Amino acid sequence: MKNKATSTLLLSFLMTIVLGLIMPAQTLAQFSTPTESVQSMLDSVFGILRSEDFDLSRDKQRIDEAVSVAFDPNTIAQSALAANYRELSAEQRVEFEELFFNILKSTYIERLDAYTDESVEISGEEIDGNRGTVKSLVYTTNSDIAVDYSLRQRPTGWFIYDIIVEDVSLLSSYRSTYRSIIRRSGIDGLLNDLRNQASELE
Amino acid sequence: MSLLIQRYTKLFALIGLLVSSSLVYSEEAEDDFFAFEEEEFFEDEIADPFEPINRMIFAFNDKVFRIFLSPVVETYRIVPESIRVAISNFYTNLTSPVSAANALIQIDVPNAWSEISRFGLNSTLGVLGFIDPATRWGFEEDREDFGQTLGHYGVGHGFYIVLPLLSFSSLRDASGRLGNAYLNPINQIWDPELDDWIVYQGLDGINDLSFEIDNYTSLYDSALDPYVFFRSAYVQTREGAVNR
Repeated sequence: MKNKATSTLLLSFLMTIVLGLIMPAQTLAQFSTPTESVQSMLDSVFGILRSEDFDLSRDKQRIDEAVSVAFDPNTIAQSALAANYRELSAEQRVEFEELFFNILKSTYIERLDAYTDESVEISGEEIDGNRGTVKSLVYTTNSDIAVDYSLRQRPTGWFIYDIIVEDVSLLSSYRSTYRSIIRRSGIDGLLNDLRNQASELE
Repeated sequence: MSLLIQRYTKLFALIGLLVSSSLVYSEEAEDDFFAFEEEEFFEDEIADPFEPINRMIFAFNDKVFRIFLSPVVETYRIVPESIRVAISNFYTNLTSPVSAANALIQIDVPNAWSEISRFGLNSTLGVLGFIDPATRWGFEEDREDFGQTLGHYGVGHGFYIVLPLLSFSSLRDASGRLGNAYLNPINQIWDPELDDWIVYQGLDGINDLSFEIDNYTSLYDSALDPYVFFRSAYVQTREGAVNR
């Protein structure tokens, strides 16, 4: 009798360990290839957008989280500022990263929202070292829109740092814009503009 | 002698180790995923000697768009989507001969054949181009224009131009428009009065905008300097079209 209790205890103890080992591996597994990262992000966002009782103001936070986990804000911030990133202090880097990531997210979510009724299909994947590209097509009634995602491999998986819509890299466009503002009014000027923009978005 | 070589080898190995470890260190410290090379980063640059004038026209276009066009487009959207798609197909079909000719000049025979087939099929079975059966049969649209042909043969943009009411262009692409207009079959068979022409062109523009308007406003609002943002987007779009 005593033996059985011990073995049950042991078993459940083992189960806990095994489950503990498997579970995090599973949550990570969704980002183990570039395609899985993009697919799981699209699935969860469209899952929310397409649910019967969807309400933008109520569900905004959930969409935001679904998008946020798939992106790499640090790489995005570096890419958006290019060489100017080196000029920023540690505090400025943190602030810029947060401000810009929020703008990028809200623009992206707004566009996804517009394509709720359209079907999106992932059509290809390329990997070159720690860079990956996932090609997707959005089938709208009027035309097929090519949307490519650039991803970077991190120890925990693949994360998006650029979205290229019909040959136009969003990051490139923001980069040119920010560079021109930095030339005119410096990094402080850019951060100031971004703060104002953020307060307007709210 | 061999001892000397051995010493040197050790010395070099040591230097090598120091250099490589410092490289690894700086990579981790700076996180150089991007090389920050100017050339790699600013492929979307274009000469813009008339920037002040272009900015004025860009601002003017935006005002016209928001005050006059946007309400028109919003109203126009009561037209069912299927009809708007048919209208879009009609205008697109008329660009097929232009694409075919440009594909030929670029010695891209498969694309030229595809565009000729598209025009033949869609003009007849597709009822004057309102329906697009060609795409379903595997002849997918791949628009080519004179600006792209010039780009294909190495002609650069020259400089950036914002055309009043017609939006973004460059010296190269604006010149290309003349060639495109000449090859559009509608201009061979129809010699309209000015007001008919404006209605014809206006319908094309407004119909197109009825699909695109939200993209424009949301990107415009997200960019701190929309002029630079759309200039970059324009250069990238044309670059992609030329290289495809």
